[in-house]
Amino acid sequence: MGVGMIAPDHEDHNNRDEIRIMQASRADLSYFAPLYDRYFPRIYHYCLRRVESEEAAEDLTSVIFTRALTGVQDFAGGSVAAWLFRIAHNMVANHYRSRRPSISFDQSDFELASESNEPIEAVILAEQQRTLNDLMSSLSDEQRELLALKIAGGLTAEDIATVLGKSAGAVRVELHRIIKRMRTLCEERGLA
Amino acid sequence: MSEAELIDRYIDALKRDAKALPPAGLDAGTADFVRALVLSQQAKTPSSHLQDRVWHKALTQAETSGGNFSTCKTSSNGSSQHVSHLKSGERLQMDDVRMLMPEPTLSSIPATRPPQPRYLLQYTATIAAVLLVLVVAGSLLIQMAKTPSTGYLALVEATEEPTIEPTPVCNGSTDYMAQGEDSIASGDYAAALSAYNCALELDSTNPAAHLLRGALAGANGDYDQLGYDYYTFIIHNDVNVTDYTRKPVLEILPTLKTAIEARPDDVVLYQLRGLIITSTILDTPIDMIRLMDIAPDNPIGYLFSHNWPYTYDFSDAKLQKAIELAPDSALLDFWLSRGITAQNAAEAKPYFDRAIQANPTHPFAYQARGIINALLGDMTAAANDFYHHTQLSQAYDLVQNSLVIGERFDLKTAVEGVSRLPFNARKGQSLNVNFFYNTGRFPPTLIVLDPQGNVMAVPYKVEDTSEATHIEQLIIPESGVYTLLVKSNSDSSMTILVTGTTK
Repeated sequence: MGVGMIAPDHEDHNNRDEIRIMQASRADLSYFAPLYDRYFPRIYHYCLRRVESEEAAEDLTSVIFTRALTGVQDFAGGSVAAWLFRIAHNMVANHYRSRRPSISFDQSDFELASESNEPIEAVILAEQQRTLNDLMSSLSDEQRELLALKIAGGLTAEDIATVLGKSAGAVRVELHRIIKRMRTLCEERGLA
Repeated sequence: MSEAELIDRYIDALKRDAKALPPAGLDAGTADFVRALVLSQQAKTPSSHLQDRVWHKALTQAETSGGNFSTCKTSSNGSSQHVSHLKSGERLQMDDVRMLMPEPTLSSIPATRPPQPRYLLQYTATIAAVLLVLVVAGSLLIQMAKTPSTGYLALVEATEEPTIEPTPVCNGSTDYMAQGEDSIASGDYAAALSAYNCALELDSTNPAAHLLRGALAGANGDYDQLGYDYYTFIIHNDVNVTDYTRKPVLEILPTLKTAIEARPDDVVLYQLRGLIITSTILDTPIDMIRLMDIAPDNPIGYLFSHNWPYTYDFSDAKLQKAIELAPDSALLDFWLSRGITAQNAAEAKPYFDRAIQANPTHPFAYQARGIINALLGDMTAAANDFYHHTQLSQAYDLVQNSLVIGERFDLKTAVEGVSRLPFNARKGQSLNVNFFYNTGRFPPTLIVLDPQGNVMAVPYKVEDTSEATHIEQLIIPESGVYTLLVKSNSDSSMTILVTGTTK
């Protein structure tokens, strides 16, 4: 199925559907499958952004969904996305605690999903990507986490707020701060 | 709006559409940077192989941890059929379970009929036919009840009207619907049945009374009565959805909920609520699924949950079980439903044969079999079935159109291919275009061009994520050669049937 982001005007409807699935999953975990289909790419991308390799991202993703499957009884309502990413956030934190990773954002694992077939454009995009990934390594872990939740995870500010235990306003302000900082660094390097 | 909010909003928009324009008020430099950042963080879409591998791993670990995989009891090897399905990679889809609602409430009633699951789209024509069967069967039975010696009975041998319990003395000033509800609440189902009989004596078209009486009769094993009342309800439910039928039926849900809390082992209550849910808001038949567990010898649970979840094995196994439990029931839906779930026309045909055998006066059973015969290439048999359908329908004055077979195309398509299929149509005809897969998976896009090459009709779309499937009731403005464009999205082979009705 097409995953992507959920349009704001469909969020309520989708979340109602998801809550129903969560309720059904309490009786039979098989019903969780559609949620898995919807969230796997987002969770996997999020993990890819937070750990050191595709293998680690795969392992972590399976652990996250295992935890989700065994924890459906604990779901107390609200945003299913926030609930799942809260699990993911905690699993990543556990992963960090058990094994401090050396994240290298310039590795080619993160293949650019470019629509362009033009070699010159691909080279430019790849260079841009390398630069931005390099800049990201200068961010704090918390800032990288926020960016991963926002961009790779595709969460709304409200859902990120739930995951991180902050207000949505604080999330937006922090995101703004990160963007400004990265843009300034880009300008300093003459890349903006 | 602050710049922080604008950035947040733009990132959300870019995640939906990489070419989204920045919101007004966000300066161009920042917008460019945000876009570059979002694009730089995009990773390739994970492969389905990877997705399946991770799912299996998570599932296995969850099972090891004692996860709950309770399922329908249809697996031959005693293992969880759901799990075996899931492990083979055939996961349920979001669309399939969109309407999940374990605890129905009035506020959660969808405003519109929920979309058909993708699985069922492969059987569009038969589904349409069977839906019509339900409508016409209800009308037929009502007509029989009202005018047992006229009309249709003059042409064909009528089936017996289902036996109804002797009606007690009914007082016209009494609110029998309220009495019925009170009796259900107290567990006095005989009194409830009497109350609904009285309600129907006062108003024989009271749809809520039909549905509730049918459910109570079904609980007593009277499946023919259930079928009669259920079809009668369905026809009214389709005609006059909101005020007349749904509301009175749905108003009893809180009473049922309270009663179920008080008597959680009462099979009748689940059957009542399950029938209400499956026939009004077309939602997940949670109660019917539960019914299979607590009353495994009752065919109702299997029958009314057979389309959920929407996978062939589940549906087929449930219907087989329902048929096994009530093999002599004239509840036509047993056979028609079984025909729907067949994987291809050849497999479906015996079930429609049996449906006609069970009730040879049923016009739309002939239409359904006619489509099947056309798909099988037996156009003579198809024409014969369509003739019967027309005659029987006209006798009832329900469908005044005569169905004529238009064209049947066997088509092989390639990825991104467009096929042009010309066909003759006459002025005033109402055309339907359906397709059936032989191989392949993704539905094609169907477009009808008029003789001048103008687009006349684009397909009915279930929702954004689904592809177009069929065209219905396209009125032909002038006689001539029309063209059906079939735009395929994958390598497929399919049969396309163009049928027309004319007055």
